[in-house]
Amino acid sequence: MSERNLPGGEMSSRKLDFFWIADCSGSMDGEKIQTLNYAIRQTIPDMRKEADANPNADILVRAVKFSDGAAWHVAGATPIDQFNWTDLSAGGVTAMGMALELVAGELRQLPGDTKRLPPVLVLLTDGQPTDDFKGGLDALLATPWGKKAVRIAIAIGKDTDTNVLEQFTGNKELVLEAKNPQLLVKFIKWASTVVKNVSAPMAGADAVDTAAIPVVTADDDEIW
Amino acid sequence: MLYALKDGTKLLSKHRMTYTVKRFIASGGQGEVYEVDDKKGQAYALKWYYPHAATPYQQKLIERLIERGAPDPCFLWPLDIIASPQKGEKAFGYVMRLRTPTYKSIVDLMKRRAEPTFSALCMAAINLADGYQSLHSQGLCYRDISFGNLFFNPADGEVLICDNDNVTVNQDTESGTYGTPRFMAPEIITLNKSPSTETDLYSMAVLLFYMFVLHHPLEGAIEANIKCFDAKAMEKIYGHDPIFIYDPKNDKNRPIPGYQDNAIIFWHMYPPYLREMFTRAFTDGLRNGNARIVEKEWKDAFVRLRNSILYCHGCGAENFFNKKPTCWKCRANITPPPRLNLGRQLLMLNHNSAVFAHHLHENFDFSTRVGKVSQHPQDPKRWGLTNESKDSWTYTKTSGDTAIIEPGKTAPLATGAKINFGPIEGTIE
Repeated sequence: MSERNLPGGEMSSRKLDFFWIADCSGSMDGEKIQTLNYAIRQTIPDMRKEADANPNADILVRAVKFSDGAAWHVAGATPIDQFNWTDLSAGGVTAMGMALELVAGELRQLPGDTKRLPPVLVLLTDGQPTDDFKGGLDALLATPWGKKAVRIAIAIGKDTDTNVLEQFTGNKELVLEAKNPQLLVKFIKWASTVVKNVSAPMAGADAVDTAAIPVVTADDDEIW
Repeated sequence: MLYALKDGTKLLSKHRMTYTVKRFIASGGQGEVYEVDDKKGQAYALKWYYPHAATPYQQKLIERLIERGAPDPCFLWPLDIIASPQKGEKAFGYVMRLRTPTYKSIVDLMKRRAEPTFSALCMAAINLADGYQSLHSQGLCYRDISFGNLFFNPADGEVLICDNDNVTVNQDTESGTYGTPRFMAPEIITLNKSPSTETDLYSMAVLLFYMFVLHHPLEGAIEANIKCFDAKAMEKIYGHDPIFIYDPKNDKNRPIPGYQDNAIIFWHMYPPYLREMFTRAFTDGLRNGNARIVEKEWKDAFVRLRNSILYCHGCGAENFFNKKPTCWKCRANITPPPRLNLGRQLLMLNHNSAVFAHHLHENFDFSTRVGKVSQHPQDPKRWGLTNESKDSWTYTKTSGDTAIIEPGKTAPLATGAKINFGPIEGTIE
């Protein structure tokens, strides 16, 4: 913008931290991890558009991967317009607890004086944790931001422990069972739009509009 | 695979028109919007509902809106309805005019991607109030006035009102549309009241405040002191415990410098009558639906504000007339230009000022120009008002001598002189 006709600056907004937490264990190998890679990459333009149309939230994205351990896939809070997705590959066990521990550590470090919207955590997994899941979850929920976070789980395939995922989300409706690749793509797309709900939740409703979760239709019947 | 309709899909409407899907434009909470062409190649927009939103109620609503027709040309109103070509699928959508890229959203203004002049912003406010007034005067209620559904042309303040698919008859309680957080009237949040004309007036006041202050009227110290702004915190600020940031009787929620600067900068620029109106809208008008500012009052106020715009000689920035104007941009003291006093209106006669039909008739017609400020062709230091109307004006000098200003002729801007326009007489000050 060249010449300013009006005084002041941009409207004040709050930061919103968005985390992809992706399972890269051996059982994810093949179609599952490739669909996940494809789907997250597809959501980026939509998330950018969403951010463009949202004056209340500055969206910062991070990504965690876990298998034998947990590591940052995209470290550091990345503004959505600079966020790119590098394909994940699979192999190893399911250190889900360590992944949550890693997120907890990051949330603990958020500057104390900043004004933020509740973070959004999206956990994608096809299996059962092989490490201390409970310890990781407790660490996450012990942080003030983790406790306030909107937590969504996407169960990939049929072998997930939805009980564990319900503990993570604290809400049965936010455990989405992606029984086939089409649904996984739809759920990932939907999860990326939750940012809008969090920055402008409807009164009296849950932070997330579960009515808008994509439903299974006839052409979604195919199984992994 | 991600979108409901593929490019090239041909769709047959209820009015038996064929539309071809050209491209996906955007998605929202209720569905996706596509650009479509009719047989002649004329482009339209098509809103296609997600399955959860494609309800029989919504379909009936759209059908009724199509039958009724747009209350004003500024509405991108449903024109035609299209059912899914797939047998057994309940999906449907509706066709409307396409918005051209010259129109920007209020979000573009908030993010400073659109930089209108104050003059264009005033026109946008007058036009939007006028649009909602036409809607309300037909017994309809918009239900969701917010950031996303108003677009304006930063060059001239023309507006387009979109997302009209939730418009209902006032007092309808069947609709599931309750509005957008930050714009919803407190009673919708606290008492589960249904949106109505009264709650529309509240949302419109919020939108106008955003447009002129680039900030929310209830986000002050209380919001600034909340670290995690979750649903509960928002219900408190916008619903259960709302306090206007400039409530004269309660200073607990003043904006905080360094975080809520726009509120502080803009608020103090505006003349007292406008601040008083916003104050009424967000004090008495917060809790009492009857005390809300109606469209006509907003239109009058923004005409008055537009009439009062003057320019800084140093930097050219727009400022508002008062006894001793100081430029907000370069801090220079401004010598006000000559003014045309029309009794109920006071119009600055800047280098680019024009007299519109509204100035003579108070009919909000800013498209019919009857006069403009111009320079003498031989002596650029001499300024005058050129008659662009079809009628002659009578010019009375301070000496009492009169002259006829025929169409095309120019009356000099001499202090104390009077111009009789026919319906009204003005004095040059």
